[in-house]
Amino acid sequence: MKNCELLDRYRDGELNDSQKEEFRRHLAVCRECRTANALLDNLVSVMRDETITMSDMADKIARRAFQRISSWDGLLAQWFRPGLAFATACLSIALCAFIWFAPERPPDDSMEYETLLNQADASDPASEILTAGESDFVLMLMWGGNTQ
Amino acid sequence: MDSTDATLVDRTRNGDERAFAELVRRYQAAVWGTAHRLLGNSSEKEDAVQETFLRAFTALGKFDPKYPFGPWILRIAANYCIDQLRKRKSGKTRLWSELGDLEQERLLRDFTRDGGVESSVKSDLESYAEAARSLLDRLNPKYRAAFVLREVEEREYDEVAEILGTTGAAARVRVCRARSELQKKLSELPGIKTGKKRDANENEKL
Ligand SMILES: [Zn+2]
Repeated sequence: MKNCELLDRYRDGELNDSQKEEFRRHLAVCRECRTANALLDNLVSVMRDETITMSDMADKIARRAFQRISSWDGLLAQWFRPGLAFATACLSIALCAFIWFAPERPPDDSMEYETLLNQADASDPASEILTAGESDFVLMLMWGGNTQ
Repeated sequence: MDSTDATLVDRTRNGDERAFAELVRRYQAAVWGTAHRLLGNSSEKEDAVQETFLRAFTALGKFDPKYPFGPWILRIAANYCIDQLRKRKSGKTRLWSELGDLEQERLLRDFTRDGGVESSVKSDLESYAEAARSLLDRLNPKYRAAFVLREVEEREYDEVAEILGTTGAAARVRVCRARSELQKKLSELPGIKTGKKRDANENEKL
């Protein structure tokens, strides 16, 4: 193995004592390895020694997380709150209306939509489809459209 | 409060906001540090910390408490930061830097000096650290993350691999590539002789 290739193993602390000794002797005569090692040492030490000022974000983050959604179970419960349910229903109707009456809609889109609906109807109980679709919708509303 | 991470995860899943805050408090320094080394001194870093924990929160159902929480949260953080670095590269913005290019190059020249970083460097550590990050900025984000986790944060290759979602061997290759790329990038700066011959086709796909 070429000495220069030993640099990685040297830095990873994977050389035994005699190999280490040998590599150090090599460092003394090989400028390329010496410069490379110095560069890495200096980069690392500067980045390790740097003081990183940090602010405590724990409470803020936790609050935000729970504002988005209290828990996965809570999500469903929230959906059944009448106010939100009503708003969601109105928006759903508006959305459906938009989908059905959007003027520039290509004709086969509706075909596809209908086929999908029919397929879904055939394979699953309607209520389940509704809940799944609606909880997605609620999620989207709660996250301000920023679904992840 | 000496609850285990697993207990805190469990309580968070059951709707305990304070448990989640405690979990964030335990790991925010680690996430903050890694984000700082990957993204630099910018507001992006704060977003990264917040976004990491919010993503963890939504994915908490998928977390298996049999495994340690640390590598899991850092994996989310590293993924987020690598994505940001990729976006930044295409946008060619360097928001983090308050130093001019010439100033960075002047500082970087000092890095090739043998015998450790001298006291003059220590007195201006922040500028040097920023110059160091400017050199890291020229790396492939994946190599950069591997290098930071291994060399700066002194993690074992197993852990680096876990955080980066790859194998130990791949993590090792990434760190090696980062090391040689750093020399190459430095030698591309004017007035720096590293003795490193530039490989034209050291093009990396890992
Ligand atoms: Zn050599």
